Amino acid sequence: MNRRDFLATALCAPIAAPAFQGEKSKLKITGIRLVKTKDRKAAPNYTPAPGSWSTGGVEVANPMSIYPKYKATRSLFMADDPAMGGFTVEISTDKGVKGYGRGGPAGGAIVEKHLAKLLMNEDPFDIERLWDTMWRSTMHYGRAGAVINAISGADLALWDLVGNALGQPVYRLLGGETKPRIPTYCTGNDLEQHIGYGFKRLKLAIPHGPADGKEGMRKNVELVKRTRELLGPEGDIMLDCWMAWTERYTIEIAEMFEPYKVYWMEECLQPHDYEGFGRLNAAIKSTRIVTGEHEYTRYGFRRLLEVNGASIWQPDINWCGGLTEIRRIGALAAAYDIPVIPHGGGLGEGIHFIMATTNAPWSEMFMPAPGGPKEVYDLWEEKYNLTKGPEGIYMRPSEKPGFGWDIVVS
Amino acid sequence: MPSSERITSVQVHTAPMALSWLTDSRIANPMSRYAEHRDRRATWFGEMTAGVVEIQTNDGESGLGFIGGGRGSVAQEIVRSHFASLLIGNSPFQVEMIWDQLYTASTMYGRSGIALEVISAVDIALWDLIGKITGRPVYELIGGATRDRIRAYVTGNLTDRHLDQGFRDVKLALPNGPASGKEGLKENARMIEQTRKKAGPDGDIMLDCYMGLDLPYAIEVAKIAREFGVLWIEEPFAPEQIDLFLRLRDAVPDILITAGEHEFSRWAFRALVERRAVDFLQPDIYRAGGISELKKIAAYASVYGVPVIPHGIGAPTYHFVISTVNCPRAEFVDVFAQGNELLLEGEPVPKSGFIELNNEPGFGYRLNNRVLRGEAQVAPIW
Repeated sequence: MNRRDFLATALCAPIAAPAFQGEKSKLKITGIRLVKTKDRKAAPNYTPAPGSWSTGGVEVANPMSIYPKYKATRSLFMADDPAMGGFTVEISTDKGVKGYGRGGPAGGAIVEKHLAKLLMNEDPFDIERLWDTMWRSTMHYGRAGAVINAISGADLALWDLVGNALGQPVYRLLGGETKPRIPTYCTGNDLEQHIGYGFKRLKLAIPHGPADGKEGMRKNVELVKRTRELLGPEGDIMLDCWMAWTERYTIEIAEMFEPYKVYWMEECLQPHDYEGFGRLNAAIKSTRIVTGEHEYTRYGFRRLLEVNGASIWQPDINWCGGLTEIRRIGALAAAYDIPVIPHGGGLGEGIHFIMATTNAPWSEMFMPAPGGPKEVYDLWEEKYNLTKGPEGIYMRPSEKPGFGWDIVVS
Repeated sequence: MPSSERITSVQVHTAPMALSWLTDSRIANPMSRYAEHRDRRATWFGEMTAGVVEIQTNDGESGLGFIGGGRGSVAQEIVRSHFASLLIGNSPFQVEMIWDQLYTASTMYGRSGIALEVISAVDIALWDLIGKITGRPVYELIGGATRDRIRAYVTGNLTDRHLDQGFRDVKLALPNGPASGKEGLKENARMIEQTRKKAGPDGDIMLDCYMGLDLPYAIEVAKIAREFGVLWIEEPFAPEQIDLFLRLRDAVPDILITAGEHEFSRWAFRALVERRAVDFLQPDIYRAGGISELKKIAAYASVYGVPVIPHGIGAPTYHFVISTVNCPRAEFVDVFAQGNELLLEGEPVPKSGFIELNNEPGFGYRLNNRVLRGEAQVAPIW
């Protein structure tokens, strides 16, 4: 821990903890509301370097790529209203202890208009029962997607609250530290920036799919070839295919990638095609078939397990059902010795799960776009406790209570 | 590592177990085929020793965990000669890593049996410590309360005593196995019939067979049990005899068949679930891997809609049950029928068939000094 972290911990812990710690009485949930948050130490705005991938306007292969009208960027088909995006929920209690959790797209309204009713006046420590009541009460319109995105956010806010009440970082309540620091890979196509910073594991967003024909295929291969040249022979290259490909396309392109040693190919098919994933996982030996970003709850992962659909599972803690559910998914995976590398796992709550879980070896990280002032990258490094070492870049969860949010709430 | 608590010592307290109905009455068991061992399990148990692992930190806190299997003196050697060095210096919060390291480091002699019993006790002692350090009962840290109190059934053949105590549901230890022939089978049937008369139509009756049957006998017992509305038949065979479980279920489909008391770790329970060998799982928290492993087994079972009703008694069992949605009931073994005590004092005991948990930090129990000083005898339970 550096000096700044020590001060932050020392200053923060007494604010959150003694309000409740030591009391034998129960906490009671008295408020649930959606909030806007920003980092307390916010990075300045800047225009990314011209030509950089992180400008947001670049093409990423996706399931809508087959429609020319929507092909250019994913924003063309995603909802414009921010209310349909991800959300942050604040849960507060009679003794002043609060918790914050982030859930996935379209979940906010469900938290406000339905789940809040189930949580009010309850004890936030009763997470297992509260998860079950949210699950059962939404069964007629839930079980995946928006409703589970909503449950995820609420569940995470409860865990943050419990951590705050006890004055403990959440990972210590889940089984504690399983590794001194967590190896981290970087997602995005600003290769020079990521390699220059020290990442030795890179995940590329694949730009082309079947909609771009043979030429797109060649461009994909060219991108992977260039990455291997830049990264050298030792580093790992992963490919995020974001539900854009077909089974045949995946098999053909896997053969073309073979000389460049791809570590995994992720979400090549649409998530409903469990059998397709099973066939790919059996057929392709040159790389690992992995998926799970858009899979929900232990029951979804059971289907993936039953077809042996993936060598590594990638649940997203903010979407799959929260910390309570990702732990169950992790337990299911552990019975079959399957590693779990959560989607977006370095960004917030997920890092606590990874730290406390022996079959969760790495986290995923994103780097701020190139072209910013030094302060941007310093703040990023500090926020995620990034360090360098033999495997590239590593991180650790915050030692502050709860998930260690350092945010301004409005 | 930022936190300051460190494990500084690990020791095992032991006390020889007394005798009771559990050791000295006729209970069908795997040794029943030998006439000299048919009437009392004590004839083949050998020296049974209660054991509790105590883990202490540099802050002066200590956590306690009971060791399953009744082999405290063997456990003491495993802790002394092997596990202590793997524990000392770590934070007590590191239960996941510690579990994994103990399991992996003992692979060449472990994976089940005594090694897992010691790992279970260590895991339980660590959770006790975490509860004490955070000032909360363990159940609050592992999911919270899913209900106000737990319905408990009682195990033992003293049905009059148990109904007087307010229990509704009773589990009988089946006295006779195949080696006792037709007469033994009739005696089993009479016992079930009398219990049904006493318990009335609404009380549940269960049969514990302690791995003591063969398939033809188990089918006979299941048919009799069905006639008297017995809810489940428990552990008719050793847990690895999965095919026998399947054949019994085919032969007598309308009675629940269960097992798990003598099974260890998520990987073994996975086999029982994958092959649909049993209707629900009965892991023992002091054997199968402690709180951490039972939570994983329960999560795994919930994926397949399989309930978990753990075998055994004590605060760790009940903290696990109350915090887990797919654990509908708990067991209470009548260990106090002959007036002995447990090596841990302050263990929850059911009142009128229900268990309520207090809000003491950790598991809320402590070492029983009367037992350690030799002023009281330890009730056998393992």
